Amino acid sequence: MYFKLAWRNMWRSRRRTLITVSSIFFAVIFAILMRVAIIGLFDKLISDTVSLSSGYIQVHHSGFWENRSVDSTFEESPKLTALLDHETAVTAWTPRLESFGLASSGDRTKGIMVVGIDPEKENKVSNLSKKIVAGKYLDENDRGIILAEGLALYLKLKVNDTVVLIGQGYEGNMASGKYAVKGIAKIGIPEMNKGMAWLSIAAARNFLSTGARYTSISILINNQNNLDGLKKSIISKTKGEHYEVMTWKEMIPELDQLFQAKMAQNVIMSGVLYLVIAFGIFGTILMMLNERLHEFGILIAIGMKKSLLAVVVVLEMVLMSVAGVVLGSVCIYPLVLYYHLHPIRLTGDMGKSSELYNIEPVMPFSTNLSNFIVQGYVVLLIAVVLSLYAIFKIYKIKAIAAINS
Amino acid sequence: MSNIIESKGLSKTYNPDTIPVHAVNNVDLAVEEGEFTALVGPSGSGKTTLLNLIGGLDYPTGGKVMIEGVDITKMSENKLIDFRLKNIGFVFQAYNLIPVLTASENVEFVMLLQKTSKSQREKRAIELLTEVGLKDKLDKRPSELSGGQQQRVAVARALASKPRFILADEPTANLDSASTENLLDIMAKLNKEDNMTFIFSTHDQRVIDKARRVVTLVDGKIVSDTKK
Ligand SMILES: Nc1ncnc2c1ncn2[C@@H]1O[C@H](COP(=O)(O)OP(=O)(O)OP(=O)(O)O)[C@@H](O)[C@H]1O
Ligand SMILES: [Mg+2]
Repeated sequence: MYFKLAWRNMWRSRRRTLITVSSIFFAVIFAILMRVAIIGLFDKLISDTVSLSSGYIQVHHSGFWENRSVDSTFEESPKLTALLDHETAVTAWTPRLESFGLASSGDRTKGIMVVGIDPEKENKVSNLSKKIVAGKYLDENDRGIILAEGLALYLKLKVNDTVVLIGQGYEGNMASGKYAVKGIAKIGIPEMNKGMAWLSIAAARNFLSTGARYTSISILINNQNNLDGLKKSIISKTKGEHYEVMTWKEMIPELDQLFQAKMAQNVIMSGVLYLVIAFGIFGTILMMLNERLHEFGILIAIGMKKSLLAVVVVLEMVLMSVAGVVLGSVCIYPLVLYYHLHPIRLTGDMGKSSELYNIEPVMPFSTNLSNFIVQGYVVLLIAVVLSLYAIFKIYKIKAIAAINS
Repeated sequence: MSNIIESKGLSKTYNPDTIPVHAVNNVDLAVEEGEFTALVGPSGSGKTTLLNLIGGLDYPTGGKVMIEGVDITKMSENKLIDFRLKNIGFVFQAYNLIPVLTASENVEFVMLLQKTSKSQREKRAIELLTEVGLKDKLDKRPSELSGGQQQRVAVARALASKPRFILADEPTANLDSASTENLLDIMAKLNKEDNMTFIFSTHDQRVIDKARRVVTLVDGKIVSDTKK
């Protein structure tokens, strides 16, 4: 019956409730849209960048990340790979042997990153085979090369053409080789698209004269919350060996910083929306206290404890907020899902500026439920905090004065 | 018979520091179980103030109020709320009811506060509303009832908590003469049949005529007290 009372009271001044609920409704919709757009954009950006470069977590020879030299390599270690296979937080892992080098064809030369990969394992981490737009993906021990699309364009190379690679190999050896272009991969991140190439790990070892060595093992994880825990776990299990374990946030801090800065902006913009909601809710509370003073007096006179009265009033505010949040979330979810499946392609100035930031101009919305739940928490928190004022006022009510009002 | 209400030297002074108003001035009043008492007197004589003090809605500035031997003027506000719930029924002048609840829900509400079971609440609400002649208005909201009907629901609600007595401050002030008579008849019947104690204030001579004891206040003092 207390619930019934709160529910019916909520519909008592129908217009006011509708205004309050719809202000929450629209604010929640805007807040969700802003959030899923920015988080979706960065989820994709981070996953694209990280999966092809550092991995979410990378195990390498200590010091490698600083000098990036093929001299800081390590030998294949069944112990290490067995350990990774046992970590439940690891979704997939792949060994890489990477090095800077020069790629040339005809009169054109470009500095690039050459990555030796295990084609099958690599695919589980970066989905590289799906990015092939011409030719074929690598086989194990393949002798061909895959060029990023922008690089191929710059070097004016097509599938089956030949590219010359020059670089510095293991322990100061000169590295050089000629490779037939087996495939061309289109990479979303503009910078990577202009300067990456992939060899099979066998071919890369041959090129760099490293023998059975890697520069790194890159790890894919599905749940970002496991990032630091997994890092710690690997470190503790490889104690005493010359490995260094780093997260992508440590390896590519500028990406994390960009994300944090965008999120901070997002929080401020949502904050403004929530301020509007807060005023709406507070206005409702003030009017409610005013209109129902007589009734509150009667209730207290006939024996209703103020604490119970406060609970019913807060319940009413919470109901109103939940209605706004739930309606907003339910109504906007289909749109979010649509833009998740059919990402918005940024064009014009927005597209250009995203390229400046080295971001692929595609914005798939995030459908992560936490983006919706977080709005619920925030609005509820606002309602509850503002209800404290109502509680305070209720405790100050004098029954007689209230009845006479 | 024993007194259920007893006031000794009861006083309430408003604005003691500026222009003091002795709204209730040294009142000794004893009420026995089963009385049907009217509180009369000119406007401003202190009827409402006295009822509020007896009902534990306000604290006196002097004297005490004993309800069945318990001094309620020493109770904390929270305790008093509970005491009122268990012992006192109230009928106010108007707008007694919760607008969003139906007649029977209004009656049930007090029992809900007393944590009575749902089935008992519903049963008793129907009984009480039948007793005040509103059997066919159970599901009506206050706005769908006449003023007299609303006051009868208020009486049923006051009874619902099984109080020791019912206080009514000018319960008929907003009613036409037919409704006034009807409400008083119901109260008198409850008094006679169930021995329910009523104390009500009024200006209405026809209401005074129905009382069995009339206490007259002037300037906060009892100037006459007659039993019929
Ligand atoms: N809250 C208050 N502050 C100051 N004075 C008050 C207050 N309440 C009542 N009074 C004064 O106390 C006196 C008694 O008032 P009370 O309301 O008890 O009279 P009453 O007999 O009920 O009058 P009425 O017949 O008009 O209802 C009046 O002089 C009134 O002005
Ligand atoms: Mg009065």
